[in-house]
Amino acid sequence: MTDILNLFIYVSYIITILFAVAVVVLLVCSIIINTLVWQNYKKRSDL
Amino acid sequence: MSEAVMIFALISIWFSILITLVVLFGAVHALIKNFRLESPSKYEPLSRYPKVTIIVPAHNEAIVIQDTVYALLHLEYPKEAMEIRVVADNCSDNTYAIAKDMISRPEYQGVDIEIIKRTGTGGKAGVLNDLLEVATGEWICVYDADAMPQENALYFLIKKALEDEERYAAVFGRNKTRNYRQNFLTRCINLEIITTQRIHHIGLWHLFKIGRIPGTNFIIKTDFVRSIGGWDNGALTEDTAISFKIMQQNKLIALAQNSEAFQQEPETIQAYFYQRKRWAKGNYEVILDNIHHVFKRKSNWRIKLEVLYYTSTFFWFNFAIIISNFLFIVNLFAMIIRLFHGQFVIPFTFASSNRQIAAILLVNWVLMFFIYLLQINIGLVSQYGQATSRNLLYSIASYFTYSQLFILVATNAFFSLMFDKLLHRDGSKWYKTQRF
Repeated sequence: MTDILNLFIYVSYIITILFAVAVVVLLVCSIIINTLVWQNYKKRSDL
Repeated sequence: MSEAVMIFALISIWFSILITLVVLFGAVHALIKNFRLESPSKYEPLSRYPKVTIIVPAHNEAIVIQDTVYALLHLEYPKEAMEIRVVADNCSDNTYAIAKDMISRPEYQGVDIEIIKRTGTGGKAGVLNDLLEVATGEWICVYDADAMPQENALYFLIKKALEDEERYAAVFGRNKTRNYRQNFLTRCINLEIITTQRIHHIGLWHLFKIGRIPGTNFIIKTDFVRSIGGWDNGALTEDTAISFKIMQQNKLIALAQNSEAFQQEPETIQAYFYQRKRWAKGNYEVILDNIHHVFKRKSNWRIKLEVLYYTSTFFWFNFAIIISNFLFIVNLFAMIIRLFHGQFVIPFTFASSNRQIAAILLVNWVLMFFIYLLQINIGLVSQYGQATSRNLLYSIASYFTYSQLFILVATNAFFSLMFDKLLHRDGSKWYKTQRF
């Protein structure tokens, strides 16, 4: 079980790093989408 | 043993989050691409306007039918290419009279609209099958009685269908919650609907060309439905059942992102619970009917993927969450007891590695929580007017409250279906969603 636990701890670190990267990327993406939505809205209201 | 149970639950939850991330990144890519290419003027004329039979099955819908008929009569689509059929199915209220009164107004003369009284069986699927026999439209369009399509909803559905008439057997649009301001429940349902439609539907379509017919705001080829024998009479979720039939024929269910309709959502926990229980039971039945495709080499890969997705969500991931919650509650009680009895042993721990693992998992849980919030937030920012600080607060609260209801609904539906099968009960007799 100790070997499995060690492997589990190792995988936990990897998954945690993966989730952290995903959170940062998604945060940036949500800002980009928000900006695009507003730009499109402005374009449409200027017409 | 306790360590193995904890590891199983955690790996299952990680796996579910990884699937979520795949779909989420697919949706993000599609959204950025679409918004960058979006042209401000969207109303270019279509190459042709195929005739559409619009069907509205209505069972005791007096409260909402007037708005629905009004919205249908104001669709921006050539009037000569539409036939609208509102079916008052086994109604004991004024649905028929209200709809009839609405279409008798002088401004609506010349529109091909008919209000039909029906006393047959089969529920919504029965109505659709009856109308399938007499429909003259090239496409059938279905709206629930509480739906209010936007003026251009049908235009966008047809526009998408014409992009690839050979492969697209059906096209579906998006639904928005029209009563989301009512209370906490409707606010949470609104968040769920936005996330489902803006993230899951877009992500699945963008990555795998997989679509799922919703109950409302969709079109389907009349000849194709006839060729597959129509809708399943008595099915709890006739829309999911027909989605699988379409995929079985190697056809696609395309997503028309700009086609939008408003629909009413349950305003009480009881109405919500019965509606979702019916959906969950319907989905279980569809899983049972289609599980054999997973083991058939020649079956369509989209069906295999969908069956695995549904099975994992309703059974595997749900089971893992129940275990996880159980471990959390047991440990919490054990810790409280330990405050008074210092020797009391906490049952679920990782022995000597406990502190290290607990620290990693705490960070892990916080990140998962952020992914949950970001998923909703991306859905919200992509829909004009929904990215508000109030909605952000509701999304935080929904994690601890509304989201947990899914566990109850899915578990209850599972046991209900099991008892239906064991006791030979008629599980297809469903509770009609209450209108407000």
